[in-house]
Amino acid sequence: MVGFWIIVAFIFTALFAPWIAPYDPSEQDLLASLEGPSVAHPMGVDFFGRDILSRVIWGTRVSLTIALMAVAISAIVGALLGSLAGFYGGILDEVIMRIMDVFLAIPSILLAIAIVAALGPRTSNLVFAVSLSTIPEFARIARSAVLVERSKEYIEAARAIGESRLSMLFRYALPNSLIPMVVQASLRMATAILSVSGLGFLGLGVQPPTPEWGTDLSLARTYLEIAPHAGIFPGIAIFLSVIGFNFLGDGLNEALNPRLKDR
Amino acid sequence: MRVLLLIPVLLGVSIFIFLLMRLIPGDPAIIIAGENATPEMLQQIREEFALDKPLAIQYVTFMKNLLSGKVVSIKTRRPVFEELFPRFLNTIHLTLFSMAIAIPLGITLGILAAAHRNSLLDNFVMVLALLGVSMPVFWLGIILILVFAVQLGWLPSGGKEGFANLILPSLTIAFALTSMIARMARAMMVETLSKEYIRTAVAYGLPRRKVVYKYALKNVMIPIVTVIGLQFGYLLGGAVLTESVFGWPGIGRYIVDGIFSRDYSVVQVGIMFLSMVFVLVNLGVDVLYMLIDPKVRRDVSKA
Repeated sequence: MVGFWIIVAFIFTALFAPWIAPYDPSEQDLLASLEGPSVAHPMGVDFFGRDILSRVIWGTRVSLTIALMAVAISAIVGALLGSLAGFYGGILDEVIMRIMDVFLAIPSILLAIAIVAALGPRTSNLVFAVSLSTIPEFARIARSAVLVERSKEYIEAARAIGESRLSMLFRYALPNSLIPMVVQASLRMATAILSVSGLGFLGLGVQPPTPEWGTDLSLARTYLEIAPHAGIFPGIAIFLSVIGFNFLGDGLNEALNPRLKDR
Repeated sequence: MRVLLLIPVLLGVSIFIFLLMRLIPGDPAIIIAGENATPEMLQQIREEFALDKPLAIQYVTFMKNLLSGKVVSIKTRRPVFEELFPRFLNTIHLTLFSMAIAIPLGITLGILAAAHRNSLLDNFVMVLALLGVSMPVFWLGIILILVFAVQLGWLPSGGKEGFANLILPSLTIAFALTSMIARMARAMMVETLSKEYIRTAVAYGLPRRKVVYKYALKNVMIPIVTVIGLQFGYLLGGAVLTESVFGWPGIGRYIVDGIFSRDYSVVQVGIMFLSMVFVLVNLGVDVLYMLIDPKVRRDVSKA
């Protein structure tokens, strides 16, 4: 439940950023450069004299959008690939799952780094980079869910009354893999946020002056000794949003997965 | 059998990375040789890497050059392998030290939490572990630097001169790793404790302590160790961020530096190398698992 409310708060912040943020996130007041937290600037000011609170608020929109798009794409593509592999089996299964193995074999942050390095740090490439390493997870879940469902009697029954294989897949088997997919999606949102901000921190993510937590954090690192506040607040935003999605994922898992219930 | 299955995966990885690097806009000869290359050098590179030939031949040539250690760094002109290897050892050094902290701590906490399920201790450990897996490593690194290097001045904030330099980056990695291991160990122990034979043992009146720490623990250690082994490769990749924060001269930072100096040979060889290590470690863990667990061994020989 805690996770749910944290996420609601972040989504609200992302949606209403223009109305909540006290300043324009790229408005520079160089005289105030690196000023600590005050009433006018509750989180202080960064090196370029920009209000950190406003940047954190706008950064919510940037981070959540990229993470959400990446997870949505990988969930859809993963579900399709995995369920096709599980449902049809044979060569198709082999080919799809071996390709998935290739992407699992490259550590995810390195895969993202390689893609962004080759294609450039545009938002669309970031989404692609983060989603690609997540597709195999979703494919595996969908595949095993479909494999379990396929052997059940109701599928046999559907086949007996002459329903086509494809319609059985989409009407029965896929919807039944929804619960593990939703749990996974929530946990993957957490990893996606970490990846996006990690790329930003390395200078390979969202490019300045666009406000993004990781990118802002990497700027703040240079002035850490004079202005620690600039490094602390964007980090708290990442931390809280990741906790939120992890909490939500764990909670959903426990609530929806009968195996984990108290016996 | 398992080893044979690896070959297509490794091939796939190398083809993917190769194609990805070819997607970089611009003349591949300039990309390989660097912006300041003379026309003669470019010509030499074109021949050496067969850049005027079809893509498939280019790939084969590149792999040949790679395996014979001929791929050189654009910046230093030295073979990438020679530069990469000592840095890889630095990363291993950091990773092993973090694991030495995290494995005993994580397993102990996870098992204790499961044994005292829903107690105060359990809740405390689980919340702490959730914080640990949610904390961005680069941010934790920054906080540790702020506290222990800037404020207290006890430890150096970066570099690799001695043991003191190892402490902060190791703690950074170890916090996340301990949390991950504790969560997995608890989940597996909880599942084992709900099994028939455990409940039977308790029902027969065996002391619960003995059941938990003798019978259940024995059965849960193998899967825990396996999962930890699988984390090792992930750690090698994850060290990229920690190494950047602390200026630790490991392979992750070497690759990132390569990206910024547009040294694509370094990037390409580095990522391929780490992926191979990752795959081989996972294979090693699987083989070890088979050797330890007679049940799995039997299943495999049957199949």
